[in-house]
Amino acid sequence: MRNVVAIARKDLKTYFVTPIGYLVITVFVGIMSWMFCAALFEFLKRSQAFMQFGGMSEMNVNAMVMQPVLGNMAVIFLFLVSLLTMRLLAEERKMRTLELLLTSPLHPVELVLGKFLSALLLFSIMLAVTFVYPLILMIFGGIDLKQILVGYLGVFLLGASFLSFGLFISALTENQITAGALTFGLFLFFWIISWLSGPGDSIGSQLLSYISIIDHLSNFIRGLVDTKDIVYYVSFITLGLFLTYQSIESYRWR
Amino acid sequence: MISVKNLTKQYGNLHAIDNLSFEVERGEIVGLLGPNGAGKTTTMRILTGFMPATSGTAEVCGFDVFEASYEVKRRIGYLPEVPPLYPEMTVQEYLIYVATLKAVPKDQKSQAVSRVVEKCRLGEVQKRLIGHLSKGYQQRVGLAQALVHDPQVLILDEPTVGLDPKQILEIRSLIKDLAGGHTVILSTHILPEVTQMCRRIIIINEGKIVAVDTYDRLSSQLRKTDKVEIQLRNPQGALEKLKSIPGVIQVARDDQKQGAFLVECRVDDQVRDEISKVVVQNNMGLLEMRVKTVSLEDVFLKLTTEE
Repeated sequence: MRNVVAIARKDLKTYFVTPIGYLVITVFVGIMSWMFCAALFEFLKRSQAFMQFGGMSEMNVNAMVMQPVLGNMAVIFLFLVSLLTMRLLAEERKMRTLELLLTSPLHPVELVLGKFLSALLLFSIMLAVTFVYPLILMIFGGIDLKQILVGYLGVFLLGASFLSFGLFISALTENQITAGALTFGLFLFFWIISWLSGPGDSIGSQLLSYISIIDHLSNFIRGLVDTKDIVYYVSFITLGLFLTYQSIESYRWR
Repeated sequence: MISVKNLTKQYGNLHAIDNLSFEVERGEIVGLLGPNGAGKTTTMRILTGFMPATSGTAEVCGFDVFEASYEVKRRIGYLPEVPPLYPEMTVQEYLIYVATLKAVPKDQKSQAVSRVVEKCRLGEVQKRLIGHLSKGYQQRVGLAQALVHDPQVLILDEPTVGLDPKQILEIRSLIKDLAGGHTVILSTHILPEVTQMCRRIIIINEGKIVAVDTYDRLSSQLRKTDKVEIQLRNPQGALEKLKSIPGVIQVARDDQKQGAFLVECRVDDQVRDEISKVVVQNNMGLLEMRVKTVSLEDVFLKLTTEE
């Protein structure tokens, strides 16, 4: 455990020494804030119209602002995740520091968990910054904090799944650009995989929608916790970490 | 302290190391000498627990490197051929990080770091980024990293490669100072380097041990003997007959092959001529006779011409 914390701390610090951490946070928060403002202004315009002409008694801030923002958050993170994970193990291989880690008295599992934790912590910082949005919405009242927290849980799980697979890909090569490109391509594919499923209700389309990593988010965003979705994300994360561990082990046996 | 028995590592059909056996005593500095690609790095990687051997065993401080790798790793300091450094860290941060990884207790960490900083003379640069240091300083940081947990055994893979002559002298004197307190194995392909630093030399070539001895004894053996392998169909009485040939120094039976002998003799064509005559005249049925190709001399020649 001590090693996990040591590795996580060191790598988290590396994110901020090499400016990639600042860069990713800035880009992420910048784009998200833009989207939040756009959604908020749209909401204000419509609610004004409703007040003038009458109509629905109450507008739903959650549905009109937070839900689209959380949904977009997942997509924007999908584009940024490769920047966070591509370096993690590829660079250790390239700089030969993996040799230091694997000849130190620590278990490779501790290495995998430490690396994963560092990326997860950075992602948590990114999410924490965006929590300003629901706080702003509180001014208007009528927000359902529980529903928003469930939405954040979903985005967190989705992000963790991305990170665990990004880590795995980073373990496969010693070139971080290759790792980044592969990660990006893979997640793009995971994102669009359900587009083929179409409106039909056949087994094939249900399967595609089950595999699609983004589709599992929709329940969370609507404030629904479904065991099926949690199991999906947790197994996705575990699989990614397991494959990472395996590829580190195979590096030694080569 | 270190005991290696019949260690073999295969990559597919290639034997990176083949049946290595040697012992290293406590406090010794032993040089692993061999041309590039002889299997030095592979041997060291197995000893440090980085990679497993195909067969054979290796023990460090009484622990098997594969079965009890955790115990072994705590007791070994390892400097790989390319020092494992993080250029974006300062020297001090890096050494504290390594101390944590090497399981140095929390309250002793800063003491351990300042000890190696002093030992490797890194005082002036300890606040600087590793990436900004010269190659010589980086190598010293690599050495400090191997020493930070005060290991009983130090394994150094080509510690002077790529340094300028002044830096080489510095590193060599640093390593010499470590003798006694630590057991050191260092590899090199430069002959003068081992003769200066090591009490004992293990010479390997193409994955096999050619000789293990002190440098003085090895060099005195040079050019004095030839080794001839012969295999006979009727080996009865051959041992005595071969020994009685003038010019033959020693005859040993080769246990791995039926009727095979290893004859050590003077460097002289006539002696070999005589051996073949004796064999034929006594009807021993000569199956094979050849001068052993990998002689110490060949390896020495390779090594001395390289630097």
